[in-house]
Amino acid sequence: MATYGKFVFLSLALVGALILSGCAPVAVKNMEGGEAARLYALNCAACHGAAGDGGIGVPLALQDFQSSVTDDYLFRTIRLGRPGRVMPNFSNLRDEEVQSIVRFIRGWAINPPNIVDKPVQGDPLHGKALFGAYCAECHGAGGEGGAGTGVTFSRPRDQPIMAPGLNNIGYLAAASDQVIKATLMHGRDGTPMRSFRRFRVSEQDIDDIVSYVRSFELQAARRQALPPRDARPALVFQSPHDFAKTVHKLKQAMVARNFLVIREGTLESGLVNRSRENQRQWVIYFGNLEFIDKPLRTDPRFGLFLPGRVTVVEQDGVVRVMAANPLVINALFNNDGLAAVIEELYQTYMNVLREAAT
Amino acid sequence: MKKMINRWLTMILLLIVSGPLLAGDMLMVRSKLPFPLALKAVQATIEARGYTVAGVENVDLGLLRMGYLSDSYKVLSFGKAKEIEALIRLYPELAPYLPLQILVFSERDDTLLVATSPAYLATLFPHTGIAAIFARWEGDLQVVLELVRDAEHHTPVEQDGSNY
Ligand code: HEC
Ligand code: HEC
Repeated sequence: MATYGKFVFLSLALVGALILSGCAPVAVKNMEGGEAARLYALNCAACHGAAGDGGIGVPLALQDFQSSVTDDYLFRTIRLGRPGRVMPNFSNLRDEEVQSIVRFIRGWAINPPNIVDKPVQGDPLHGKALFGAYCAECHGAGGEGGAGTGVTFSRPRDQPIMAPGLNNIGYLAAASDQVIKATLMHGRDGTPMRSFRRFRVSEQDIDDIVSYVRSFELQAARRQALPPRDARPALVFQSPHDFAKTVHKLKQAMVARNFLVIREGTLESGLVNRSRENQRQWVIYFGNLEFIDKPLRTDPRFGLFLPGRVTVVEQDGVVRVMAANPLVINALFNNDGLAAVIEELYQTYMNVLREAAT
Repeated sequence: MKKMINRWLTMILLLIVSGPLLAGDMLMVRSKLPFPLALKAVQATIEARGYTVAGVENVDLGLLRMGYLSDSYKVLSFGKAKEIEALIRLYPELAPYLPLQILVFSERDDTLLVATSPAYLATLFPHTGIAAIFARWEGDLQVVLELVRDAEHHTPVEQDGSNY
């Protein structure tokens, strides 16, 4: 019965918190360990898993990972992120905070790494040939990395863990030659990345590959993110037709492109009484299997913007058709893998909207 | 009251409510609650903060219907009707982003919650008049996500007192 009382108390605490939660939440900042765990839970666990077992991000608790990377590598990775590869940069955290996250991640290591940083001397040209033969199938011919995100998103995919981008400016700035070399020597047991020593290659061959990976730096430095060519948050067209005809033309334009109208209704549907819904704000959801499946495979978070959605609003006699601009939404994801999907979605919206508004 | 408490008993136990979420344009948390409970918890917390849950889009069922096997994957939309109505009246081009949304999907035993930061959305538009309301949405959404992140799943104690 005491147990029941405890639960009642905690449940009431929850209900209370729900009601009162406008007030500043209580932060738990007792000891360093607790603080580090809190920082990790706050900033990293959503992607890398609470126990470092991976998710949208790659696993961090693997022993082969732990023994292949230095604290400096972890620190810089957190600071710089991986531009275009989902992993954000945490420029908002203080140095001490990043350091305590590094120590927290190190808590998963059984043996500390044994890496003495000194440059590797190798032949990048020979390394390039070896890379093409042994690495490109997973990491891409130019080291651009595998498609998708992290570990299993419980749907079918080619690799259980995505191969990271090696030509990434964030990776190259974080990884010393010896960190890259250690990764090739150890591999990452429990992932598709295997120790390179199982092939009949010399240590010099490995050094050559390291030099080749290092040479990606030259291209990486040149790659620059451009601002979107159409930076309006919403794509808006004014329709010359009345409301009903505009809605009809939109649906025609969708069907003509082999899309299914998945659902339609007022924008206020579910928010207000059915009889009070504004009938002049209409939302049409559309898509087809490929249209929805492809982006979700690349980035499960993209479901926030799926299926396709077009909104029709009539106000003061003016009928407008509109959609959220995918080129602008793109910035949310830090995922270059979405580029083709984003471009296709943008074209689809522009075509459907334009067709309805002419 | 007892019934309500019991519901919470079998569902959620609040551990700690800690500081702000991952700063950024995307709000993301991982909850230990299994998917169905996480979805219920999101709905309950949103409603407790005075918002109306407008609907739950069954993206997973949609995929299933099209012949594709998918895991649990839903988009929940919510808002306050009066606020949304007033905003669209002034700025119709906000309409494609309203009502607000939270994506809820399972990843093995956990559930991930993802939302676009309303504060970030506000920066996309040139209208300074919308900042305050979007900032309030941001605050509320953060609290909702934090509560679900920190909620713990417990089996009913009535059947098994030995745990405690
Ligand atoms: C069968 C697929 C596969 C092959 C072949 C492969 N890798 Fe990997 N590689 C991976 C995966 C998956 C990971 C991520 C492992 C993890 O999550 O710890 C990885 C990780 C790495 C990393 C660490 C990157 C980081 O962000 O920490 C490096 C460096 C690397 N691989 C280099 C190579 C090189 C060089 C070769 C060729 C000699 C190669 N890999 C061959 C799949 C592969
Ligand atoms: C939005 C999801 C996301 C968040 C949040 C995130 N990561 Fe990552 N992280 C990733 C992804 C995805 C990769 C793999 C990048 C690639 O493929 O190149 C990665 C890579 C890494 C790597 C390199 C792993 C390796 O094999 O060398 C480290 C270290 C890392 N993250 C640590 C962190 C830490 C610490 C935090 C919190 C401060 C964090 N990440 C937050 C998604 C995330």
